[in-house]
Amino acid sequence: MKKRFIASLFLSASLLLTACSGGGSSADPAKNPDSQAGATGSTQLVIAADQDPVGLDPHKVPAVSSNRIYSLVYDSLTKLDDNMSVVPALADSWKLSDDGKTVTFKLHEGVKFHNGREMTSDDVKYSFERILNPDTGAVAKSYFSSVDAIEAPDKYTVVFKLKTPDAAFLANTASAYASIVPKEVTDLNKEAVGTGPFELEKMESGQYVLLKKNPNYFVEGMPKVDSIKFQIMKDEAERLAAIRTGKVDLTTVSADSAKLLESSKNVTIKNYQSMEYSYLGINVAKKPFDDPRVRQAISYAVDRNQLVQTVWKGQAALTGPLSPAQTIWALDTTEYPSYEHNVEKAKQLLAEAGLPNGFNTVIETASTYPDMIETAQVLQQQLKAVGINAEIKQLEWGNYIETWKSKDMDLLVGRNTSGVDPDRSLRFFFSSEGSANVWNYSNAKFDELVQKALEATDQTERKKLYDEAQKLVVEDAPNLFLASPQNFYAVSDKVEGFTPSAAGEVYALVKASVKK
Amino acid sequence: MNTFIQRFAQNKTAVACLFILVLITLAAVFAPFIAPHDPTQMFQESRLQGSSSDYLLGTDQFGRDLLSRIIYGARVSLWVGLSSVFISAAFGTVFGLLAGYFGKWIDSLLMRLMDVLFAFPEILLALAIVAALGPGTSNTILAIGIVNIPIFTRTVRGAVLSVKNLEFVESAKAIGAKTGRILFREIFPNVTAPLLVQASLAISGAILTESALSFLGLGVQPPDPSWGGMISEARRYMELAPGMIVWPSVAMTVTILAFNLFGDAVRDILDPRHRSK
Amino acid sequence: MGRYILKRIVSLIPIVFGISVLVFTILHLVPGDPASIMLGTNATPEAVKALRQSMGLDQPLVTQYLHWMGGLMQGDFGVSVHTGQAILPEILKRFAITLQLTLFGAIIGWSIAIPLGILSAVRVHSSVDVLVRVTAMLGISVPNFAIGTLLLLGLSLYFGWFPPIDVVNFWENPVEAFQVFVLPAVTMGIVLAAGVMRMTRSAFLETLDKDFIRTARAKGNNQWTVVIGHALRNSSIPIVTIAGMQIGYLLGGSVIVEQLFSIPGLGQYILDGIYQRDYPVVQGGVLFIALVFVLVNLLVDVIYTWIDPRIKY
Repeated sequence: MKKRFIASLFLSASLLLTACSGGGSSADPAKNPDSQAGATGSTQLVIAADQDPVGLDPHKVPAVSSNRIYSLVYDSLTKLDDNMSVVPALADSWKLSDDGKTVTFKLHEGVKFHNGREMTSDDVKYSFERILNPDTGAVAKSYFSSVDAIEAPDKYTVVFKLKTPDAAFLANTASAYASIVPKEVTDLNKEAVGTGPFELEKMESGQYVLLKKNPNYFVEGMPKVDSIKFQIMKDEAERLAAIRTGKVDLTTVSADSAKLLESSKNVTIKNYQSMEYSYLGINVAKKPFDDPRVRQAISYAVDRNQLVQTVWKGQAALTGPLSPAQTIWALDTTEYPSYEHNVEKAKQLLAEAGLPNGFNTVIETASTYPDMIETAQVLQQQLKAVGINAEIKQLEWGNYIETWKSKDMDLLVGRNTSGVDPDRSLRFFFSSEGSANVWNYSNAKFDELVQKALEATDQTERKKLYDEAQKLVVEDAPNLFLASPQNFYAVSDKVEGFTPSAAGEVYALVKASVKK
Repeated sequence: MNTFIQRFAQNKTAVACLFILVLITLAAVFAPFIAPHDPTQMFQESRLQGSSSDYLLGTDQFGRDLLSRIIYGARVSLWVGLSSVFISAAFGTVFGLLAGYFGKWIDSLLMRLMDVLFAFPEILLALAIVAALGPGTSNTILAIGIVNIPIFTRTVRGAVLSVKNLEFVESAKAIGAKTGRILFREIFPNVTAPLLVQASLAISGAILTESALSFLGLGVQPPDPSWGGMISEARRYMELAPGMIVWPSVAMTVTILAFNLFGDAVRDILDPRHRSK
Repeated sequence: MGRYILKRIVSLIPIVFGISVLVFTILHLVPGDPASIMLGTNATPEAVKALRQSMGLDQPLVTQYLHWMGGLMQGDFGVSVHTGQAILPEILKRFAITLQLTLFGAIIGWSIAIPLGILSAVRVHSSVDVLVRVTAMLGISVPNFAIGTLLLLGLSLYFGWFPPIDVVNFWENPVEAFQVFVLPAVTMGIVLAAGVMRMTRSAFLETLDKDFIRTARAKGNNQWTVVIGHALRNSSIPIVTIAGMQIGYLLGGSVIVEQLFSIPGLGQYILDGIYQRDYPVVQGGVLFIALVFVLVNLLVDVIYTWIDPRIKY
């Protein structure tokens, strides 16, 4: 009697399990109560996201988890294409005055916000003034520090008056942080009303964000899918299992998982060179790191190729302060002498600095990212070879950011997005006034080079200045630039036309379609 | 006492478990002499390997020898388990005895305090403590120790409650024994059995909590190997190198099993009501 | 009895107060600040300052605490500093999910553990006993995140099975909810089983040794009748104790399982709150769990007096 009961329990359990294992597609609206908005035959793209968005105000919230969503809801004046060149978005065309101090944008006519109102030059003016207003606390405020005044002479024309010529200005208008928002919405974290290809349909915290197609999108024939659902899956193993079983159509994965998925049928791996790089930050105000020879010694002690092999499984490129994805600007790493792995040279430099027996120090990093922890461990071993004993401290994310801001760390392992324009990659991170320069690094020569480059209107001239700046910052070594990883997407075979690139996920998502 | 040793020697489970625990402790103490390699040394060219004559249990993602890491891991995990349980048992026993025996406002005060502590979800409290104090082995121990105080207090108090109205306590009171004497001579011996059971469980619990903190990145800091930390790291390589997760799990399982069965056996031996067996 | 319960409920007030102070203090001791976390490593100091202001974090701690408590008195848990959404409805929604997960996990765990514990005690020192104890112990010897990962990857790799990605409540769609919760519940249940099994076994060993059971056995009663009839009631105190503890443990302790399986429960909500220093969320969430927890404990104590009249209050 008892046995039979248990047996039937098992049987019913396995029946329930198999009932759902028949490859039930997540795009099936019958199984998906929240996607009933789309009538039969509508297509949905399900994307596994590793984090909940933490707010949707494009001006205020830089978090990647938020950015990938509001980038689909809003448009900017311009955007970047696959080759990282600036192309039209909300602005059809633009003109630069001869002195480089006036930029005039012609807006696309008839673009509507999701609430039905037409987007005009007033909204553009409003958006940029909101960004520039210190009370907003906008991420992109420093991007537009050269802006003096914004004028809207007619409904479809916007004129930016600049204090000085600003070579990075145009590329910066492509940023999602410079999204054009409607002036009537007061709290953009509560309401998301843009002009973009998708509208915010529903947000269930901890579960998913559902976006539906904007039928009036101003770009003809875009987007291709009727809705996109970002499903929150925090654990990599879960995302791996989900893409394998077809429960999601698209997800970013680590290099390890990408390798595992290569053998899976129904899943394709797509990768591209990212604009990110991992770094070892050095506090140049702290002893003994105030001695440039010590920082140089660390650079010689580090074997960057081992990092590429161990941490990134070979799927990363050596990098300077500009990631290799910034093809036009980035110097080849062979230009940097201190990239050579040379233990003898490192020891010699330490001896010259009066530390022949090395010293003790601390490497701090974030507990959230396995690649940072692994980088710290490899560095620790490499530094040991030259007598530097480093203790690793993994900090929980909030704590890590606090440490980063403190300007009081010793060594810190982190990851940066170097940005599209070299101005951001260099001035923002390393000029004396740069807001991300937490290393107490200050070199008047460097400051002058990047300021001159920003104001230069001639591209060759600009390139020359940036080459020099890159060499200088590598030689001074307030940071060691370690490796720029490939990013991997696992894509279900149902999805067509998704080609990710450093230009951004949005660009690829808008063109993606789902096979019936 | 002699009879205890005799009975102990007759209990096969107890002897076997003790043997295993002694073995693990010896391995932990003499790790530098037993381990074939430095547990933090990375052999670049032999990453994620299976068993071989060079690396008996294979290597991890950095090419570190797994066997050596497991041997050194015994140090870390045992230390975390034992010292954190010591903290919680010491505080828990005192609080539990006081609360259970005196009752009234002392009971209310202590138990409400424990409720406050207990009501804070275990792993979140440990996480908050570690985040506030900073990561590291001793802070991990402290956090786990604090988190487990209420469990011990409740266990001890429960045991006190069930005996304090029994005859032998009443008669001790009647002949005018001092409170301290009643507490430690009459009541405490009746508390040791549940305390032991709880402690043997708590050691494994502590080792597991450390692994959960490692999972959240705030346990024992790398490159020091704790078994829990190794397992949580190995999760990412589960399919590529199963050995990375299997071997530390085996080590952890054997240890925890030995602790628990040992606790049970000692309880059986100590508890007068089970002597008949 | 009624008076006792009333007294206990009144005594909740200082506990709630204590918890509110504890959670507030610990949280503000932890370095980090919600504005800088939200803005990340590329933030400008002005941006952080402006955001702090709009989050109300520029005010003194005491003011913040009083403000929070004031709201609480009126049943207002406040709003998340990140999303600006009201906290209480979110807590209730997520608690419902955690509760389902917890109960499901507990049912799985206990229905394995209690029968096995009894079996093990009745056949004490037999090979069945050893087998049962060792098997049960395996469950608590491996971290639950390892078990969970193994289940998830194994089922996806070999059976192509993955739980439905949207969380559904049992009362809406029991079949689908079963599929959503089964893996995390099993992962939790395995851990529970060992503890309850041990408690059941040792409690039964004790009662089975008592005179009245011996008498009953000697009278030639069927052994199982003896066990069920007499021993169960007498062994239930420690079992109820540990079960009560486990429910409490599960309510907050499901954090890791929730994280692993992306179950949007209360543990997950609080964990994210800690990571983002979303103070009102963590304070409200912990306070809520604490309340539930204290009520469960009260229930356990009441059950004590019901099953064992020797315990007096």
